[in-house]
Amino acid sequence: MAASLRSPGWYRAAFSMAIGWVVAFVLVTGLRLILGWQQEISWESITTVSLITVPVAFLYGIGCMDYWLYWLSGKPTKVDDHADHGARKWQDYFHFNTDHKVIGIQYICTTFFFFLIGGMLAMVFRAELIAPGMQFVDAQTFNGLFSSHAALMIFLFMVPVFAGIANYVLPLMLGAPDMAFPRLNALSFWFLPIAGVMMCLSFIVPGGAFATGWTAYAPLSMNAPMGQTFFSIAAQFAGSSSILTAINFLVTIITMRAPGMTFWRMPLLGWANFATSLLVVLATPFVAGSQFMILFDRALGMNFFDAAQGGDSVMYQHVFWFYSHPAVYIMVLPGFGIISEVISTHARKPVFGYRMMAFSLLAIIVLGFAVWAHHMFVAPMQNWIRIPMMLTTMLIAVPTGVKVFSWLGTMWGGVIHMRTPMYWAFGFITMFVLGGISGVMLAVVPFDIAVSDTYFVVAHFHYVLFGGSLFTIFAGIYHWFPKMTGRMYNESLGKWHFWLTFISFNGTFGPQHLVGLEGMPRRVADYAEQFAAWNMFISISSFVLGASVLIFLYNMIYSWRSGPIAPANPWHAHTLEWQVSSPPPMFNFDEVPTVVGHPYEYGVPGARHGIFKEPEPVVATVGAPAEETVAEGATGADDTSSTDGDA
Amino acid sequence: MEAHAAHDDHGHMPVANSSANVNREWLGMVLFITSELMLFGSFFAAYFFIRVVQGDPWMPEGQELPKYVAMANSAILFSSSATMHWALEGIKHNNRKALKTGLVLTILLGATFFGIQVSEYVHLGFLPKDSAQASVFFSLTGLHGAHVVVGLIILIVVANRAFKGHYGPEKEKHWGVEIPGLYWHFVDVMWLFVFTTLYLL
Amino acid sequence: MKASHRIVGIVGAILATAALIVFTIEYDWMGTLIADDMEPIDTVYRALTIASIPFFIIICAILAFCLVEFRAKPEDDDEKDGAPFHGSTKIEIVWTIIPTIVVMALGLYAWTVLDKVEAAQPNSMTIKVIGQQFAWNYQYPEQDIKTGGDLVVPVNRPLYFEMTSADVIHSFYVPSARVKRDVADGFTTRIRFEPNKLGSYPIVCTELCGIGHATMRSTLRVVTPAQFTAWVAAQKSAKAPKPTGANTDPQTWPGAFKNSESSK
Repeated sequence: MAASLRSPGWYRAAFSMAIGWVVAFVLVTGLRLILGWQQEISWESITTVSLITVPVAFLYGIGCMDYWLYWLSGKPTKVDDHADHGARKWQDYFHFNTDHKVIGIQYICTTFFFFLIGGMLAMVFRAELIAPGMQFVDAQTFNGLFSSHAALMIFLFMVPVFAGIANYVLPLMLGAPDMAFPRLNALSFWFLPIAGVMMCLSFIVPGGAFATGWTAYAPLSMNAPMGQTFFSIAAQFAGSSSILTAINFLVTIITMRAPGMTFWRMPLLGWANFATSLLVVLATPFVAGSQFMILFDRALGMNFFDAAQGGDSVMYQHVFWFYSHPAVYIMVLPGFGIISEVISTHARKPVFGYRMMAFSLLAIIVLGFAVWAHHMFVAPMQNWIRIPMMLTTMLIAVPTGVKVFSWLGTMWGGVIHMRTPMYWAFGFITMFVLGGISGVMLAVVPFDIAVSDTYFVVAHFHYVLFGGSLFTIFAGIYHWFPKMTGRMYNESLGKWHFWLTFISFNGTFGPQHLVGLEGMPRRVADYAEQFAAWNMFISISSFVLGASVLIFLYNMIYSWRSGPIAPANPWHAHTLEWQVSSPPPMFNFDEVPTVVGHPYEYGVPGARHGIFKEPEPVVATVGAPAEETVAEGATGADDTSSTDGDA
Repeated sequence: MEAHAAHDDHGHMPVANSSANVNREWLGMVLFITSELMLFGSFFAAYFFIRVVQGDPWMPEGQELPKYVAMANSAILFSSSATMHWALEGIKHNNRKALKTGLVLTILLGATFFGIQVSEYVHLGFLPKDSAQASVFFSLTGLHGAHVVVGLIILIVVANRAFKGHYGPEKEKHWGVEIPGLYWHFVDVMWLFVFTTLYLL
Repeated sequence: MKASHRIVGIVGAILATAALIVFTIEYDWMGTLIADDMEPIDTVYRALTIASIPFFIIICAILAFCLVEFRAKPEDDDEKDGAPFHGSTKIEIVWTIIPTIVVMALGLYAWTVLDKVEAAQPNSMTIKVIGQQFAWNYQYPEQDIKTGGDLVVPVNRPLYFEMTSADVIHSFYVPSARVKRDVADGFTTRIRFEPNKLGSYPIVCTELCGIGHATMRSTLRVVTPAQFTAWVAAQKSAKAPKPTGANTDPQTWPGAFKNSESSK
């Protein structure tokens, strides 16, 4: 027992979490005693502080900080022996691990776990909405249900699942043995279960789960019950996770590409993650800021938003949407990358207009920072802001349209293999175009004034996030399933999954356009009689939609255990990740491959993307001596990544 | 973890190609600082909305800020950037004495700054909850103070190592001083903005 | 693919486009419209939808064509590649510029509509709206009455709403007039419309405001000028209306009313 408490793992995590709670208790109670406040024990304050100390203690216990503490002690740095690389048995996935492939799987499984919880919450409130009036839950619970549905889906699923897929695939695609900062990578992952569990735990605290929507608009969230604090702090953990991962991706993409892989020879998934990570680094701190303000308001009694004290509640919306609009692109750009890979591979055609595909990603992120106020067309904002924001928002349709047309151009003249990932790609294009069209419509101020905050908006963002992002996630999961697990998934189950999802998805969200246009507000537990028929239909479709996920789960679990063994390159793709075994060897490559051509040269006679030979001196731009120095420098200076972790 | 047996049966990690002529840790720190800038930016947005868009007076009646104390304090913090630079230049030229002295001076100056800041909080005579302006003031300076503390902790570790004889003039051996130094310079530059907007304008 | 199949496909796509456009024009999408001057908003919706239909149909048609024409044949080798075709600058320029022109044209059109529907009207009747958890309160400065009941207004008279909130953010939404605006403590927001149809229409809150959000509804009653005068008289003769929660609960919401008057 004593030994297991000393080494990183769940025992030490549980023990240190207990200590973390005691620290919070002593800190808060001690401070209150010293200050001589009337009530020495305030459970609410203790809970707030322990929401910070307990997770930090957990991170220590599970082993995220061992090396950094070692560095802090001032001992000489040591060369990383990568002893904790790789997973040999399934239990290894439940431990601290610095292998990007293990972390990738950890990410994907964790995020899908929270996806299921978020989906079940949706099932519950769709059951409530099956008829007007109150059926199963009260209004407060209802508000908690849709708030945590949104928060889990956004912070714990959409944003991190792309980080998970890229975590697994990207270093392989780039010809890198791992991510740039493996320990930081592991820390970013372990932030996620903390954030997710914290959001779920808010259901059991007095007052119920946070019930102010995922937007947590002030001043409603200032006086909300304690569950709100759980949301604010969980959002901080999720946000830190995504910032640290984004830094990791950027450094990996910039400094660790294989010799010969220039930016213009990089697969589009790399470009997509490059653009996304830039967005995350620049935008995510703003959501941290907005939640800090809510926290300071709630815990320290600050007055950012109270008009009586000179505060400004609309400022919260500006700060929040300055992140949360780019967040929409954070949740869809990596999907664009996945779709480019999938379509090119399964249609066996070079990507149409590769450079424009990359430039349009950059155009989207630049424009993405200039559109946030389109979420606030009906807010008490200065009227003049609306027109420029409308025009920039509509302009985003242009680079997005370029991507859609280029995907069509990629398919044109190809040899299209209708495997499951391709079904999802087709579904994605059609549904995402619909979501994009309703997006352009919502950008139009006079129309937005009529339908904002109605079900039309709900329909729009589900077409974008479910029909758009989630379809790309499914495409990506099916596409790389053989690589990740070494086994093939079941094609016919995959197609059943697609058709059931596609039909019930449209049944669920299509009619929401109609009830929205007729004026049904969103986020309501009860609604007028005139919307009853459609809501019944929507609810029933949504249950089918929920059931379709079970097919996916069965397919994944069954195929992972006993699917047919996958060949190294089942799709005959050109990118580097398919040139190694399935699953890849422990360190990805025995020797780093040399890239000699573009990644999508299907049909070009004699074209190669990567070759596995010793780097030829002509191709290697930096040269061998430089590599050695950097490698040593990396071990010496690896320490500094701890500053990222601590700050 | 199935510790230390890795080398035997799992081959070895190939050396990653270096596709850009930058140090990874340095680049990581630059990106981290960028995101930190944006975090400060969100609080500056709050400042902008309350002071400019709302047009509230800065600061409200009876909540004056001690401009001259802060000015002196700023001088202390800015001089710590100079000593940090001195320490780094020292180790680059293998002058270990300069490294140690520079680091110790930087830590002392930083700690002094922080001490004065804390005492300013105590003597201000108003609390964060007293007005939206006070909330912005305390959160911006508090956020900066938290960065000072983190910077100090890192510098103390670096100094500890310096006294143990780590680091050297070779490029790859002084990243461990240069990168924490970069962070410290960021903390100082950030103060320039915080100080100017809160106290001077 | 046979030539006759292509013709059937193209004709089908054109017919589908035409059918959808006719349906868009004919279908009553947004329910009763009580304000004639808000008609352009419904037109904007139809214009946007009609502009989008060809895009969507073209994309679907191309996908369908690819699916039929370029699908791998069973006898094809897995390694058989498509045409090594990398792009065409000409086409890329075309599909960048055409959407740009379309969206900018729609944007400018929407701008004129916005100016039109928001233009102030002479002879407006001002009504103050105060949102509170979870009810709407109305003040008629001209008639000097306050009510927490229905919003009663005379037909064919331009209305001008000055709105604020006593607590959290709400949103005042009259679906049948296509207008909506958030109300927030510390701000005064303004909307206008002119009801031209007699009858009762729902008013709902569309900004999540807490536990009672779903039930924060009210009714807009458009009446004849004579009925309105009678209603005003009845309100005045009745005992002073019960003060609403908004201004009698200073402990919960200090200073709410004081701030609501000043716009920032």
